[in-house]
Amino acid sequence: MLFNSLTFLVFAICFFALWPIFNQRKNSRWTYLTVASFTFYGWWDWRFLFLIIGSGLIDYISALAMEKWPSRKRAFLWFSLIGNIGSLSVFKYSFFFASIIDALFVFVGIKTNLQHHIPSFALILPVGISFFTFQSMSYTIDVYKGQLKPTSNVLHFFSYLAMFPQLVAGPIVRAKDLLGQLSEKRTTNWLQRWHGVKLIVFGLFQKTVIADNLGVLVDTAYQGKTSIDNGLFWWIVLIAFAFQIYCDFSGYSLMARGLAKLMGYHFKMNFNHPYLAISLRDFWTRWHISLSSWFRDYVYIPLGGSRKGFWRGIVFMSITMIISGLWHGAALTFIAWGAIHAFFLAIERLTGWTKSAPTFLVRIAVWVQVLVAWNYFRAGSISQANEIVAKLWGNWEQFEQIKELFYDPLFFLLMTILIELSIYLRRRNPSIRALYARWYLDTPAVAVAMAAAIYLRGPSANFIYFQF
Amino acid sequence: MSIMLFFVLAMSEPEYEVEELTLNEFWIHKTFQKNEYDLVVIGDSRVYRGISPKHLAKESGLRVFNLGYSSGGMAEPLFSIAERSIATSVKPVILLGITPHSLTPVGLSNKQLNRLMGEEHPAEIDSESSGMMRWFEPYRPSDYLKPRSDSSKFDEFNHYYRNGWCASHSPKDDPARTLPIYRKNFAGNTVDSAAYESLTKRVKIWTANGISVFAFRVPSTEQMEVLEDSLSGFDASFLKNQLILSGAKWLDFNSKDFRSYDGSHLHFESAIEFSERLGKMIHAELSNQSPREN
Repeated sequence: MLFNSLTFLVFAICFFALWPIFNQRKNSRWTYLTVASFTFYGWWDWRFLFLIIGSGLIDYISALAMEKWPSRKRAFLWFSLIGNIGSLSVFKYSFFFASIIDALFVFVGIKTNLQHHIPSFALILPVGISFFTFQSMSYTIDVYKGQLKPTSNVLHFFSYLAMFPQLVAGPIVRAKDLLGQLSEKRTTNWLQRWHGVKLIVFGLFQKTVIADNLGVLVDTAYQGKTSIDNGLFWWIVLIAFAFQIYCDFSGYSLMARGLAKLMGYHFKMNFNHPYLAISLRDFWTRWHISLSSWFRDYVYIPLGGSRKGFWRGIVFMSITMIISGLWHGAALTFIAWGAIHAFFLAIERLTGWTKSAPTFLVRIAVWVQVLVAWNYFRAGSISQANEIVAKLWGNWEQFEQIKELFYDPLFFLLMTILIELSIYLRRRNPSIRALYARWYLDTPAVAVAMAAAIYLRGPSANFIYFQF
Repeated sequence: MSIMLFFVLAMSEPEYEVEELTLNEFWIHKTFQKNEYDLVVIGDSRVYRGISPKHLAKESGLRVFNLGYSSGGMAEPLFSIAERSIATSVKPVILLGITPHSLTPVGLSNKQLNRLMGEEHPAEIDSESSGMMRWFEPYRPSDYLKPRSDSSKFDEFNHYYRNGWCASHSPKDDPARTLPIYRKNFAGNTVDSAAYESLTKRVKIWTANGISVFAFRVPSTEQMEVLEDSLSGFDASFLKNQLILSGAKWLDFNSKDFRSYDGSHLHFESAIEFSERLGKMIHAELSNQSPREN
């Protein structure tokens, strides 16, 4: 069930019509949220429900056991981690690792053929598995660290873990931020509901108008459907992809936050205009914030962070970035994406060049780094990505033909850049900021975005982050 | 305010999307789509390259689809697909894009279409909206803002659109390019006189069922017409009379008015112009008729 589908519209109308009734008491609220969320998730394939329930029960039981037998809490943490990482390994990485092992054995002259011995169920990637697994793991880790008291009510736990707005594509909400909110009866006033609606509409606009229209150009280019293949074209494609993936994912996050807001819950911001970053480090504090902070708190800092010296800090950061790449997908291209970010971040740390260079130049350099890395993220293989990088420095002709063939995506790309520019100006200038908050600009902006989401929508496409 | 915007945008009925497809998607979609149209144009490659449904629709006010196939012939199963596509229209129109080759045994065998019909295809072929959903068809900025292209700046291209049209361009016209191919095509493969009979018979059934039928010889070049008339055994005036007697309307065009890049197929700019002219003529003819009662 996609947020931008009629099915979801019907689902949401029914859900919110009954929400005030079930929101009165804790148990009815948790039951209602859990049932609705399981319905939402089971709409793709009801068999996946066993996975989320199984994975959730492991963490629910582990956390309770940690509280009851504190002396053995380390063993229960391992039980939870093995359960979660195990299910991720089976469903997401088994084929990838099997192909690597096969390739290694072929190298020494032995044919293992592990890929063909993987059971067929393990070849299906359940929607959003990486999101709910990470969310579930953060719960047990926080209980282990003593930062969170486990809930004894299984419905309370599942209403947190499976809460439909963020279930399949984040943001990754921590238990310590949401379990408490779910325990209270939260009511909303008109202003909060208006903010919720605004987030949903702007999210829908980002997804259907920007991401889906830019996707036409990006897909055509990466699938080799066009004869244009020069440097200028690929720079345009990379910029288009940068905004496509940003608006696709940020749009989903905005809609998730808006839906939660309508229920009275607060999710933290997941994107903060990452392309306005003034260093790569700054980029990572603005991009997919819930995931980058998850990796910081549960991977980078436990590894040692920057406490164990400068060089070790760089090694830990690189490991974290590569794992983050692997989290996105079981392919070498994603690992390369993480490694490229690690490389540029390491240079940034070593030289500190972003602090001394003019901001304008830094922004451009950060852009180039991010775009080159996105190329590996989007490409079908490392060799395709390498070929494209080589073409980037080639000739810059054929703009007329690019314009002729991709007039609409170029139109939406220009529109997106202008919107980002207006946000940049709004942030720098308080008087512009005040102007935007006025009702006579705020209300028409929502109305126009809503109409545009219908009448300027691109060809319908899945959310990119669903595959992760 | 949103409701007002929706109302204004919905009432102005945006044009159908003419999204570009890959070659394979183009043929599969053309063959298996199940949308409802008012007008379908049938024929061979001169039809699928020479008639833009978007521009024909703009002038005629009808929902148009191009059912031209490579070496398509005036026979089954093309007739059945055409009938199915306009079955629910209150103003159904079949447009016959006649070429001599479409009446030869090779053309009549509809090899490509028969092969396509046996091919596997996705259960759900993307469809265009009908009924109330048409009010929610998206707008494309290029339809309103983009100036008409100056093709002299482009390399050779073929753009395959969802409405069945292939826009073709070659930077240098070579009106003699396909003449030898056609000379070869007609060797032992001339117009079958039975084809006239079967076509006029079908046209009689269509017109009796309230379907308006228009026919025309698809423009190419004068040289090509001379070659076709001398080698194919095609008798244009005989067919024209037979079709008129069966209830069809014949539309005359002069190949001199259009540009062919290879001697057979229209350049996309000419195809647009030709489609607009066709649309205007059909609109004028239909304005004098009353709609079919369903």
